[in-house]
Amino acid sequence: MVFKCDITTLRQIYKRLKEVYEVISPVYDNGVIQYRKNPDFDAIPFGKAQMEYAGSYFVSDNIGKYFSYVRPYNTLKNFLRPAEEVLYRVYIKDGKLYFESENKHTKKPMAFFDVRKCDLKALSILDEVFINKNNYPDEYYKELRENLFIVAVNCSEVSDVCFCSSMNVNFNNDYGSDIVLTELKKGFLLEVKTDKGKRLLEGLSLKEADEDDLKEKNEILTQTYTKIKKSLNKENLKEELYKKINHPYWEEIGNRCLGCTSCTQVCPTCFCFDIIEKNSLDGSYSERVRIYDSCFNPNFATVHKFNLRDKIFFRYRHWLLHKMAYWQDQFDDIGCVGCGRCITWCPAKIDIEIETNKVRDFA
Amino acid sequence: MKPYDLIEGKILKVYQENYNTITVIVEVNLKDPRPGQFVMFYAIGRGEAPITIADYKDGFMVNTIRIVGDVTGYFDKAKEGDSIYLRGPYGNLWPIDKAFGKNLFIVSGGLGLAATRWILEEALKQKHRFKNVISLYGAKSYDDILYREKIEEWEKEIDFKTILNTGNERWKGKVGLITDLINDTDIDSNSVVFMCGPDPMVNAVIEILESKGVKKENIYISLERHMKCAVGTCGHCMIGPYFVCKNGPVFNYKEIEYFYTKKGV
Ligand SMILES: Cc1cc2nc3c(=O)[nH]c(=O)nc-3n(C[C@H](O)[C@H](O)[C@H](O)COP(=O)(O)OP(=O)(O)OC[C@H]3O[C@@H](n4cnc5c(N)ncnc54)[C@H](O)[C@@H]3O)c2cc1C
Ligand code: SF4
Ligand code: SF4
Ligand code: FES
Repeated sequence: MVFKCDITTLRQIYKRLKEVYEVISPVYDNGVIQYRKNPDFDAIPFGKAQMEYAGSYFVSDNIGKYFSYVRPYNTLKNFLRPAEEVLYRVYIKDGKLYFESENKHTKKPMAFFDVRKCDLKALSILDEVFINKNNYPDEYYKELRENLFIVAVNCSEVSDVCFCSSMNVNFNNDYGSDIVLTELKKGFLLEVKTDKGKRLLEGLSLKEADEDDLKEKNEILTQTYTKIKKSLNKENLKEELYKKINHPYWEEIGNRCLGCTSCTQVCPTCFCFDIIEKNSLDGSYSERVRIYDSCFNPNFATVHKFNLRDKIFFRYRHWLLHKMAYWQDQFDDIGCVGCGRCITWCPAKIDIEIETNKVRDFA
Repeated sequence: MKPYDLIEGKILKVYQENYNTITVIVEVNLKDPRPGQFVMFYAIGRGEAPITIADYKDGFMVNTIRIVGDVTGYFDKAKEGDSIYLRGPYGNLWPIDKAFGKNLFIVSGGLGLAATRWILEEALKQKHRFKNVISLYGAKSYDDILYREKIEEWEKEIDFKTILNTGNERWKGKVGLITDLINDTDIDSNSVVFMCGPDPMVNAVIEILESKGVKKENIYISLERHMKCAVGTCGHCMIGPYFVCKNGPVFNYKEIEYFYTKKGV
């Protein structure tokens, strides 16, 4: 089912979503466009444009479209696998331990309003890591994931750091979204993909879309595609990178990289974590807390007194190789969706697309 | 069941192995544990540490713990009757069937003996399936030796040799490095090797094995890496594309060699 609607109807849809779900959508705050829980429809940064280059970011006003900004700076993993998450509360009583695990079912399920294809692809990658290709599916992630409602939005504008088109991101895949939205010259195209999506729209005054609308959507997708300037060469990528594992150029990148962990924090697919214990003073109570970790942290791979990656260049190499090569062996996919966030937020202006292409092409 | 659910066990016995190492027998119901696998021991307020299953039979598990830090330190005062919380078993197995009909050669250094103890016991039970079973063990000093009584039993059954880095007046055996022992041992080039020890030892041993004609694809090593989740999602234990917790801890040397021999991988 494909419909057409105007902004008033979109507002109604958003209102309906908020009745059932905890809605997460982009807002403009603190100089950045970011995903937030439960904002108002009017807080969505309609009409704003994002300028992003290696190491720099700014947002400018009104360019005469609604969905003219690109993806927010933060990612869906922040909601499905939060930066800090209590796994268990542990009580000690008469020498015995009692475990209490968080019960998320008591909370409202979440809806993401406005997710771009790169971030949907990233979500499908996280699903592989935490559920589908894991012998011990992560129930914490799964509980939140299974009840999601997703409104996807097709990009019509791009930023200078985007290179999703050369990664395994497919603009024509709906990646399990309930509704896929495309902004046309006049109005919005709503492709309903699931029963959940259908139920949400029931009773609203929607027009059926016609051939021309669909044609316009396809043109928009093609245009967006051609606007993307960056491109990562995936051909034999894994083999080429493995061959270059001892190349001296890694040290050159390592001299620039600050090991600040920024890139891993903003990456929608970086999943590494640590488990820490938060204790009461008398030792009778402890929380097991899962927190974000980063392979750029100096002690990430310490065994005994030895840090296996004691130089920054080892850590940068590990990160890039994990994304671009190891991931292929681990999950039959590339761990990068080309969203460009790590490029924008790297204080040293290191560009993963440039560096990967460069390393792979060394003799 | 959530991936980090802990189960309760009871400590049946505690033995002091040496000055910093204990062995515990834990009564616990694990789901089909096998030689090569490990469990995560939990200490309230401190966290978890991976510990090899050194033996398991009928609901009784043997673990040897070297008291080195936060988590292991908690078990320093372990007493009989104490409850213990753990999860597992995790990881893959020593591929014993690969050695059927051939010579099985087991090499362990230091605490690595804990990781090879159960598979050695298994091999002894099925001795008729191998051409021969040889086992070499290297320890730092006389006071570091683990499983003294067991070693006496093994010495009776197979060619089990121990070497110490530094000897003392009570030590009648060989002094030197484990590599010296291998040089003195008649190794069939068609042996299947199971090995666990510190990385430098593993590297040195492999060099000698290769010079004796043992093929890389017949060498299996059990690796130790920093672990947090044990289920392939925290990223800490990666070596190249492998998760030690999920694809290991036992690796075929030929498969892992490319990454194992690179610095900082
Ligand atoms: C698959 C696997 C199986 C293992 N099996 C066993 C086992 O059967 N018995 C066992 O005792 N250990 C075993 N280990 C090692 C054990 O998990 C680590 O020693 C563990 O991190 C110790 O935790 P901790 O919190 O006590 O030490 P931490 O607080 O992490 O470390 C404290 C201090 O000790 C140092 N340290 C940490 N580990 C070691 C070590 N192994 N040797 C020397 N110094 C160290 C640290 O660098 C630090 O200085 C195994 C590890 C793996 C990956
Ligand atoms: S590596 Fe960089 S470009 Fe690729 S998905 Fe992560 S943040 Fe986006
Ligand atoms: S690549 Fe950039 S963002 Fe990533 S750790 Fe290095 S300096 Fe920080
Ligand atoms: S211990 Fe977490 S991935 Fe292996």
